[in-house]
Amino acid sequence: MRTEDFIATLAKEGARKPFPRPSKVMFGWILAIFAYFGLLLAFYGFRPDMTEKLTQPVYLVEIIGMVVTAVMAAWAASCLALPDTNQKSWVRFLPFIPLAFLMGMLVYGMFTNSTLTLSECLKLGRYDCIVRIVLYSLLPGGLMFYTIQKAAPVRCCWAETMAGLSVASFGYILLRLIGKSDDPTQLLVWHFLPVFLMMAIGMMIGKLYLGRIWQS
Amino acid sequence: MDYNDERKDKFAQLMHRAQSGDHAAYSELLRSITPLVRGFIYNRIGNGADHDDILQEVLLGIHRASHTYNTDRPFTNWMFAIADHKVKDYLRTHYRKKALKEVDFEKIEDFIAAPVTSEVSPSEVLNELLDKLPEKQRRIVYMMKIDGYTAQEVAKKMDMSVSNVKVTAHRAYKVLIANGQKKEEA
Repeated sequence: MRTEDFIATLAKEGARKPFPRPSKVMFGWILAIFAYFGLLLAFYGFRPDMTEKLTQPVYLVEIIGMVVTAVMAAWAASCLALPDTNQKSWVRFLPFIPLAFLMGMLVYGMFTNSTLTLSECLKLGRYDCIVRIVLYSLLPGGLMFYTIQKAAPVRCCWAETMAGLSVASFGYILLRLIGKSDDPTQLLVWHFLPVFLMMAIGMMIGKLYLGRIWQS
Repeated sequence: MDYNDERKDKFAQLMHRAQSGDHAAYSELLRSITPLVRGFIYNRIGNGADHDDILQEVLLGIHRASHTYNTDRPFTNWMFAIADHKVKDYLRTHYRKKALKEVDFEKIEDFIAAPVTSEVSPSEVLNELLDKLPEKQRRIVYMMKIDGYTAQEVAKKMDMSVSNVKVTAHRAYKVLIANGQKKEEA
């Protein structure tokens, strides 16, 4: 087909209605995730020692750090859903700042404050934590994937990695609000590493499915 | 406001009107950006036969992503981001195809399959072509294509690595095809 005729065909079809701005998309996600995790929290209930935990600065810093990571990752995912993200390519690295800080905190705790050694912790086999984080993340992750694929990301892997990080971070927070385990080694192995697993799953989904948006 | 700013502003306005359902504005926009996209493709991949195909691919990409443009961001950045993505996509596919392109032994069979009226038998043609190969290449082709050995078996017999056998065989097929073509032309 000649380019002139091709343009005429496209023009006849017309341009699509504008997609919401990244900030609006992000707020939509956050609201939906809060509502979903609020329901789960109402179902499972807070951990029995919640009032005591709220007085512990380390616990509060951990929760706030994870909230910051989750929100930043959601913002990065909403920006990366648009094609001209070369303007803000740094957004994808932002969530790693609080994440690295939290990881450092847990590693420090593992060497100074843990009652379990790494091998003892691995022997515990708390696979249920991994399964729960993944299951909690599925619904909000699906919502994020649906929104991203409605847009036009050119950095498909990054967009979905950020979505995976965001929902897994919220899953981590939920688990910390309802679960009783506080040992840093256990948190690092059975709570924190699944966050990276979710990021990897997100990246693979992005690579496999989001690239198809552009294929003719 | 210089010419470039004026032009960018014009693109943004046209897109804004197009998103509100103005088909004429959309047509004007696509026509106006075509030379820019063409120039971008030319700069990235030079002059080639696929130029118009890539141009149409980019325009299609812009059309499909038209909802993601927001008028408070620069239009050309948005447009070139899509163009860049589509050109990279094209180059990726192009080089993948090029890398996968292997010498097909059936091509060699085409040269040796002489017409029934010919006085020369296919085996004679093949022998003639094989004789022109260096000793090592000839032995490998014989073992793999006539005696039916696998690359692993040849590697073991000739005390070579499997990848080396495959590379040598590949080179031999190329030489056979080139010689076959020369012979056919003559």
